Order: sequence, then structure tokens, then C-alpha cells
Amino acid sequence: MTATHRYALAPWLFLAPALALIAIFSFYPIAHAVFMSFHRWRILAPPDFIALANYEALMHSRPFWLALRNTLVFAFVSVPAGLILALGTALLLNRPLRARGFFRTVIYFPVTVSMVVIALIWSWMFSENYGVVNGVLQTLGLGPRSWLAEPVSAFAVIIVMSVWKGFGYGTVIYLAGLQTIPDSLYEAARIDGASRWRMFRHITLPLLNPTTLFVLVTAFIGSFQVFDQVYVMTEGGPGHSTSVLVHLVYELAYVKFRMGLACAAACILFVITLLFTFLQIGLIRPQTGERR
Amino acid sequence: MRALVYAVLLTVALVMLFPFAYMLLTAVKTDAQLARPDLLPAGAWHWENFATAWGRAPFARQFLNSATVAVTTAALTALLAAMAGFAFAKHRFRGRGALFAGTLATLMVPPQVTMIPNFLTCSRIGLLDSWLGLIVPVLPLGFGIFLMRQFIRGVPDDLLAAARIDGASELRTFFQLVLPLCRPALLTLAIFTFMGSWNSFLWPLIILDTPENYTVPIGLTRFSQQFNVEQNHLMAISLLSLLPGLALFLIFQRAFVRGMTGGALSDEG
Amino acid sequence: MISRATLAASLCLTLLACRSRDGDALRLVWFGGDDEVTAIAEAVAEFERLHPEIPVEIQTVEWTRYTEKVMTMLLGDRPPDLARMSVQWGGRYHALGGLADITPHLASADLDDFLPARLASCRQGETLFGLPHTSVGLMVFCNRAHFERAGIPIPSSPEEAWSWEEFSAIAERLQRETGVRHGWGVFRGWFPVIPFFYQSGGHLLRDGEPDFACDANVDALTWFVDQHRRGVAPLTSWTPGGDAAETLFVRGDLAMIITGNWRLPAYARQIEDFDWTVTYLPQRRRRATNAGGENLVVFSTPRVREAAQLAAFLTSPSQMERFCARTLFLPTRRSLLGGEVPYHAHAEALAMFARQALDFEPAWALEQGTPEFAALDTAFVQQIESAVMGFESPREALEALNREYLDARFE
Repeated sequence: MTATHRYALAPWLFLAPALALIAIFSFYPIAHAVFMSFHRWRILAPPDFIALANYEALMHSRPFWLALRNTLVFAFVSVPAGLILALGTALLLNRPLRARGFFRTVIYFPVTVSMVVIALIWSWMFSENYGVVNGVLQTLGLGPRSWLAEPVSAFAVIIVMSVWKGFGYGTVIYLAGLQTIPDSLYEAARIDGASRWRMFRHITLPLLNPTTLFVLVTAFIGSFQVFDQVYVMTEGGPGHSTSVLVHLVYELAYVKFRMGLACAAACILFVITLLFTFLQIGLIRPQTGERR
Repeated sequence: MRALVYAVLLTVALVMLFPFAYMLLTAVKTDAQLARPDLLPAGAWHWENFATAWGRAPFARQFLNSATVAVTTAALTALLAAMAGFAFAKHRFRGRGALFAGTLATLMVPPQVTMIPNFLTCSRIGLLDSWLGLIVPVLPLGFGIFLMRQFIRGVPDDLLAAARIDGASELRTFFQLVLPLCRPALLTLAIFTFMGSWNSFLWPLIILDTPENYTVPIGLTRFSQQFNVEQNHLMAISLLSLLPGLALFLIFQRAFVRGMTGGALSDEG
Repeated sequence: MISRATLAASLCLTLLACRSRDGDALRLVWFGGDDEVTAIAEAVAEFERLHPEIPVEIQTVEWTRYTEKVMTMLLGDRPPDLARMSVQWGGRYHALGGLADITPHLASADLDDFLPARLASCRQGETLFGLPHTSVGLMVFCNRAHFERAGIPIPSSPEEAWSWEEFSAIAERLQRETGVRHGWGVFRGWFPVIPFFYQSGGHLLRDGEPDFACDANVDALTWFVDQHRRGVAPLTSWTPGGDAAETLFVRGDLAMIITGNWRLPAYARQIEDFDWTVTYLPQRRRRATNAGGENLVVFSTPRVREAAQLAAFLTSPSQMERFCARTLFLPTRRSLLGGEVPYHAHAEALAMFARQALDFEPAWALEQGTPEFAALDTAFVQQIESAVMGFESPREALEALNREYLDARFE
């Protein structure tokens, strides 16, 4: 590339709009959020600097710990469950089947649908008095349950639904990953008389490692941001038992108008996400390096 | 063994499709039919519910809003990301590495952290309750730039050099040479951005005030909060809201898959 | 090349700068059911005919997130010129400095005709920031089909109102004899819970300090929680994941619901399968209810004069009468009380609502009108939920409200 004066300016002009937007709407807000988290601020009145008092208040707040616990439970249950389903369905689909495209489409379709719509339909399915789930249970002679109104079952329904909606993403990625594994490896193993399980264990799984890590980490980061389904299905209830961190941030900021406290909670969420992201970088780098 | 595989897959397909079927079955029930937890409507199916539902709230307006916002978001993202991707892929300049790393770093920032300050920024420059406010702060530029840079790197340098020797300006090279070559990547990015915007919830929830300005997910949520009794109408509109996405998905399935695996396996590219 | 880029950049800036908001019109922010939305649109159209120089834009926001959205409008520095506002909220917006004084613009308005207690809810000190528009009250709505099947008479005068014990016993009998899922319930909100406190002799504030956890209130909430835990009232209607009491009533699965007259038009439309009627709230130590309503409040914008003019027009005797007749609300003018409003339906029920409203003491309007009380809102509902669902004892839940109230005072 010849770098004349004209071309030296060009890249900056191409970059300017995108970088300006990133600076204004991604980087500046982080600084602003951290700054606000040190203030007591309930809109309209000017903010008061109170140092770490917001963080301290959160440490003593039961809703915060519940939301943090729920967020972690959500992540550590829904991510592995989704991963196993994704791998399982991908393995099933990675063979010459009739209607393979149909099955793949059906499994992937919920991923493309709005979480709000999914949450609305699942709420209705699990409605205590009018939902089809209790309707079926009743015909089987089992009593109705108030699924979304009891702490444990409400959270369970939210998790099951989220896994159901999301695992198709992993299926498609695993399918692509499986197709990069050369058939010759399996043939060689077959000649050596390896069992199906041994081939899966010693060829498929190790070669899928980078894919697994990618799916795992994107899913983890996504699961820390869970909000829509909680807002639509339970509003965090009953009594904060299904609240998650993002819902807490939303409620503090836009229902109770405690902007400073909300920013402190958001910053904590940020730190947790960062920790997991660095974990990702640390884990993925050596793996992909090996493959090249 | 084969039969077993089919049996498992059929069960999975049934589980995946059931909620959507139930949605349809609910949409055609009357009030009285809704009061019983049956699967099928006892008696006639009431297709006219779709028409009634459409008139229960400014849904036509909300569909139009969602479409406008999603199309604009997709187009803007594709354009800005392609421009930046071009600069990162085909120009050498001081700070390139650092800037690109910075761009990628935005992928790590959860939108919930930036949401409150961005809300304040928008309120200061008067973007609340407007289309621009819905679009500009949440363009997925980090993802877009990454994708476009990967793709544009594959464009042969000789082509660009030839264009420059012919005296084409950089802008012309970009619009007449690079962009057309990037069509597949642009399509993928645009579709993903469109779907993301069509389905997005939290940001619109915060910045929209007026039912006439709502996007579809917000309109649906509000409707369900206000008219909890009218599940049939809610499901009818919800079902309609799936159609644009379903159409896009069926037409561009390949672009979908490429977009996702592009993110996952791009290093192999 | 550079000039083209500059062009593009300036285009972007222009795009950012021009917002598509109609700057000329007076902005009226409104909430309400279908009938209320139609009625206000008609009234405003008439105002525009009389004052073609003042175009009005009505912005409707759903009730479920109304206060949230009006707050963010203020925060975004684009307050409405005029807004429909529940009586409990005026004090808070005034304390936040958002409201204007309309006294100078009301020379001809006859303020004397407004109910004094309601006019007081538009006043803080010397400032009159709005005008009373409509009143609402609470009653017990009964599913007549269930009552007739069980052969239970429904009281028709306040003196015959059930005691809590009778109320609960009747509810259980209905469940037993008609198989209805639940006997009675309230919609999820603080508004219909407060009467139980007053009925058992309680209060919310004492000498300006929060006293939510006074013994009478703890007693009342204990009974209320017990009714829900025993299934007489629907426990899960208190959490958003459960089926709402309103839905249960419409479907015939709840024999009685305590709710307000704003529900009359909706029930008339939604309920086809059974007859329903209203009766007086139950009583314990005394008869008591909750009353509220809506004011039209004027925000501090450059258009205070026009906004005040519109508020005066909408609350004028003829407009108020027409609005109430159409939407089944109670008026806030003395000249219109006493059965003068020509309601298009449910006139008898509305007369009973007016009668029940006499069981509301002016002092209660004051304690529910403080800025701190308005700030509670969601917290209040969450604390009741917490008690009903058994996460906290009634006393703990109410003590938490005391703390929330004090915390809100720092604003």
C-alpha cells in the first residue's frame, strides 16, 4: 500500500463515525457509571458525593445478595444444561438423516424469536388457573401448582425456558465445528477397532474444545445479562426470589430512581462479567494456538 | 439405532414447536374458552380474534416503528462497520492495533452498565422517546467492525492498488469496489442486527414513553400488563410479531449460520 | 473527498439535532382506560374549537408505568405542560420543583365549588398547582351468580355492611357451596389494602412520622395475610407471576373483589357470563374506605397560562359532568354531587360509591399526600407481597415501610 498524504488521512475519516459513537456510547458511560456510583443521586436534585456508601448499602441489602445469588445460579445451571443439549442434538444431527434441515431449523428457530414473546407464551402455559400445564396435570389426577408464584418453581421455569430458547444456538455452532473434523481420523480409529464411545471421547470431544469454550463463554456472558424473561414473567417476585442483577439495576434506577445505587450495582455486574471474560481469553488463547 | 435417533429428534422437535402451537390455539379461543385450561378450543376456532386484537392498541404503528428502527439500525451498522472495518483491514496508521483492541473491548461491556449513563446522555440531547434515541446509542459496532474487518482482510490488495492507480478516491474505492465485494458479510451483519433490534427490549423499555412510539416487544408487554384477561388477543399479536423474523430466517438461513459460525470459527477462516 | 466527508458528518449532526416533536402544541399527558381516553380526546377537541390558537397534543401513557414515565420526562427535561395525576402524587412533584403556580391565571374560575379536601390536594402552601378533576372510590364487587346459588343476601346500605368475620365466613361458604375457587380478593396495589388499616383503627402517620407498624395495622395485615394463606383470598394474586385477582373475577373464579369504580366500564365489557353488583366494604372497629382521584396538574413550562386555561376548561361544571357521565367517575364539584351526573350506566352503583366515599376522612387524604408516601409506591406493594407470601412477618413488613418512608425523606 502506498501511503501518500491523502491516504494517511483517509483511514481516520472512515473510522471517525464509528469511533465517535463508540467513545460516546460505550467508553464515556463506563466512566460516568463509576463516577455516579460514588454519589447519592435521586434525579432532579444535584448528586451528593458519598464515596463508597452505595457499595456498602448494597453489601447490607438482602435484595442485592438474592439477585447476585440468582444470577450465579442461573448462569451455572442454564449454561451447562444448554451446552449438553446443544452437543447432544448436534451429534444426532451430524449424520446423514432425512429432514435434517427441518430438525436443525426447528431447534434453532426459538433463538431468533424475541425473549418477550417467548416469556409471554410460557407465562400463559404455566398460569396457575388457566394454563395448559396445570390442565394436563389435572387430567392426570395431579393437583395444580402455582408455578410462577412460588420461589423455587418460578425460578426453575425461567431457567428451563431460557435453556429451551437458547440451546439451538450452540447446536448450530457445534454442527459447524463437527464438520471441521476430518473423516479420516474416524476411519483410522475404526481400523484400530476403537469403540464409538472411545472415538467420541478421544477424537470428537478434544477437537471440539475450542467450540465448546466459545459456546461456554458467550453463554456465560449472556446469562449474566438475563433480564427480559424475569421482567415479563415474575418481575423478580415473589419477594425478590427470582430477581437477578440486571433486574435489580433496572428497578433501582427506573422504579425507585436511586441512580447512584443502581450504578453501583451495575459496576459490580461489570466486574463480574470482566472476570469471566478474562477467564475466557486465558482459556481460549492456548487452545486455539494449539490448533494452528 | 436409526429409529431411535428419529424418535429422539421428533420428540425434541415436538417440544420446540409446542409453545408456538399453543400460542396459535390460544389466539383463536374466545373468552369463555380461555377460562378452561384446555389445549384445544372447545368448539369453534375464532380467527376473527386476529382482526380484533389488531385494533386493541396502536399495534400497526408499533409494527411500523419496529420495522423502521430495525432496518435503520441494520443499515447504519453495516455501513459504519464496513467503513471502520475497511480502515482497520486495509490501511496502516499509527494506533491501529490499540484502536482495534479498544473496539473489541466494547464487546465485554455489558449493556446494563452503559444503560443508565446513556439514558442520561440521551435525555440531555433530547433523544428520549424518539427513533434516533432507539437506534444510535445501541448500534452493535464492536461485533460489526470485527466481522467486517475479518472479511475485508480477504479482499486482495492488488484490486485496491489497481483502483488507486486508476485515480479512484478512497471513498470511491470503498463504495464501488469494497462494498460490493463484501455483500455476503454485509448481509449477515444486517440480518443479525435487524433481528437484534426487532427483538430488543431493555433499552426501548427505558427510553420510550408513548404507546405510539413503542416497538412491538414493549407494546406486547404493556398490553399484557394492562389487559391480562385478553390472552387470546395478546397471543394473536405475538404470533404476528414472529412473522418478519420467521420469513427472514427461512430466506436467509445460510447467512444466519455463517454469521454465527463466523464469530466462533473465524480464526480458522 | 474531505468536503464530502464533512458533508456527511454535518448531515449526521443535522439528523441528530432535528427531533420530530411537534413543538407548538400544548402537551397533555394522560392515563386511563379506553373510555377515559376517548372522553378526554373529545373534550380536548372541543377546547381546540373554542381556542384554535392553542393546539393540544394528548400523550397517553399506560397506568402500569405512569409515574415511572412522568419522572423520566422530568429527568429528560421535557415535562408535560399538563398531566393527569393521582391525588397522592402532586405533593411529590411539587417537592421536586416540577410544578407551577396557576393562581394568577384563574381569575374567573370558581374555586369555591370544588370539594375542599380535593382542592387541598392541589395546594402546597400558597401554591395552587392544579385543579381536581375526578374522584374514585372502592367497593366490593360481587359475582351475583355465586351469591344466588348459595342463597346469601348482599347488603345494600352501609349500615348493613358485613363485619370482617362475616365477610370471611361468607367467602368460605361461597367456596364450599358453589365451588368458586376463591371467596374474595383485592387487586395488587396499596390502594385497596389501606382501608383494612383504617377499619381496624389504624393510621399511616403519627405527628408527621411514619407509623405503619402501629398495632392496629399489624392486626389488620395479620388477618389479611391469614385470609390469603388459607386460600379464602388468592395468595398468588399478590405476586406478578400469579393470576391477577381482576382476571379471576372476570372469569368467574373469584366471588368478590375489592376494586374501584374505574373498573365499571371494563367489567361491563369483559363479563358476559354472569351478573354482578357492588356492595359496601366490610367493617371492623369502624367503617372506612380509601378514596382518591385525579387532578390536572400544571408543570413549570413556558406555557403555564395555556395549561391552566385547559385545566380550568376540563374541570368546568359542564365538561366535568360530561366526562364523569361517560367514564363512570365521581365528580369533584359540590354542585355535581348528589346524583346530578347523568351516568349512562351503573347509576345506582355510582350512587353507592358516592355514599361509601363518606367513610373517608380528610386527614387520611393528607397522610397519603406527602411526597414521601408517593415515593413508597412500589415498595409498599412489595412489602405487602412479602408479608402475604410469608417472607416477612406482618410487623417486619410494616416496619420496613417505616424505614423506606424515612429514607425517601432525604430527597
